[in-house]
Amino acid sequence: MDSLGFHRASSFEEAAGLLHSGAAVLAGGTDLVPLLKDGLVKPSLLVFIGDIPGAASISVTRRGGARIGAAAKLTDIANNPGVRRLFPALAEACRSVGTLQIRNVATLGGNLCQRPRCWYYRSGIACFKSGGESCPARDGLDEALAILGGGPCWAVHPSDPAVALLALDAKITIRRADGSVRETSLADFYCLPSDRLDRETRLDAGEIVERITVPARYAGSPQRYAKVTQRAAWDFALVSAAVVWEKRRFRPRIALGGVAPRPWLLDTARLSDPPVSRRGRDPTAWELWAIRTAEQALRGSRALSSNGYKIELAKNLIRRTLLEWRRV
Amino acid sequence: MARRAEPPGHAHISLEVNGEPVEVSFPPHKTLLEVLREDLGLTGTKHGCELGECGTCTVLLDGQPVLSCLVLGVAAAGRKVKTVEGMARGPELHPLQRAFADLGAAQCGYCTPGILLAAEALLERNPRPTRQDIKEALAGNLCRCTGYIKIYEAVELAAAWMRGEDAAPPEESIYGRR
Repeated sequence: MDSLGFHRASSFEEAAGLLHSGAAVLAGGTDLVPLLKDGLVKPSLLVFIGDIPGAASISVTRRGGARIGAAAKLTDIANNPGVRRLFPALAEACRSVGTLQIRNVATLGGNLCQRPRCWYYRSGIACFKSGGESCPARDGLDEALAILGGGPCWAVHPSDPAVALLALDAKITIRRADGSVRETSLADFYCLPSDRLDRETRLDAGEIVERITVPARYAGSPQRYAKVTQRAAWDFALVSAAVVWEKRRFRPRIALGGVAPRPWLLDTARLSDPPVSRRGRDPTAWELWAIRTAEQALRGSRALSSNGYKIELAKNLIRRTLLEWRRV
Repeated sequence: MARRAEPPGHAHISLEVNGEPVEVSFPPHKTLLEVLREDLGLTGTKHGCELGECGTCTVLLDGQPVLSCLVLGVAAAGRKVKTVEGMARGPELHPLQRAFADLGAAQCGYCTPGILLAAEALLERNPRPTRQDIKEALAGNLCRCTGYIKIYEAVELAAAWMRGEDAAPPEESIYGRR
């Protein structure tokens, strides 16, 4: 730790150029600092991106969608009038993170790239994430673990904003070490432990998240982010759900959090169409559809010894959220 | 042109602490909490869980409550930090401090500096908070002694004083129900 260097980057290009193998990106630090303290990361250089001009900017228009810099603070996104008006699911997801003190510092880019909160990993017990060869949680304290997409690591992805952004079909702009940029959908940004174990994203060495873009397509469409936690404040989601309605076809895009090693987007093609006719919505038909959709959404889920409650919780959360649109 | 990375060693930063300009050098892995307590001698900010879970290390960074155990000192360069030592004006306590003392809102006192600062930031942006506003603003600060009721009452009393109202603590909250 004594040989740790620090560099204040003045552009993302410069920051990416410094991301050699021993370097770590520092923005708010609410995830990196605990990882440093626990010795789970041991960088030789911290590259600070918080002072890069425009890195924390938030611009929102009905026609242009939202463009949010990687270093934008969660408080500022949650309070931004444009985000609240046009992308309320994202505002609500940002507001539900941690506490005010954490949101005042934590950034969107950092939140999307945060490491899992599995207590085995965070306690420094050897596991797949820390370079070990087994998952102690699989046969241990598994109540917080994944019911979808798990194995060989079962830690869930802890982000709230990622769930809303996935339902909103957000894009991520990534700066590479050679100065070039690439754009990827949030759906392609995350991977499963079966793809790679050392991290949760497809960011390569020398790449840094520069900006998140939310398409205008869902600006102002009906949407919600709902989160179930053990405590009323300051907690990661046991299960969360973002529902965003496509305006033209009137079908929901649904993403789940707290249930899988990555934010989990449901395949809309596998879900039944909502019962909307020219005469409006029949509340009973709508309720039956919501129940059916919740069942379809959790098809393929699998419980470990003590996390089966998440399956029922997720179904209920989807059903309850969809019922909000029972009447026009 | 890209600058070269600063060599490993001490970081040297300037910042404003409790209204005074300060320059300080420290190893870059140090948190703002450690810089405040160990390098600047400001021990009013308390060391708690060190994981961002208890709130006792709360300070104001450019007027916003943050957890000083999760902010690296280097990230505070050029910014304004306020700690509990900056609340009183000379011998005169801040209204929040007076209300906390009058109402017994501090028991063991370990969470108090963080709660005072979180409450000050709340009253700065909302001079007339509801009980729910206060609960939300203090949701990031754990107190294991008081049960929070005295703390909410003290914030309400201080808010009234700061609005210029001639408020007094309810008799019940000092003497209990008779």
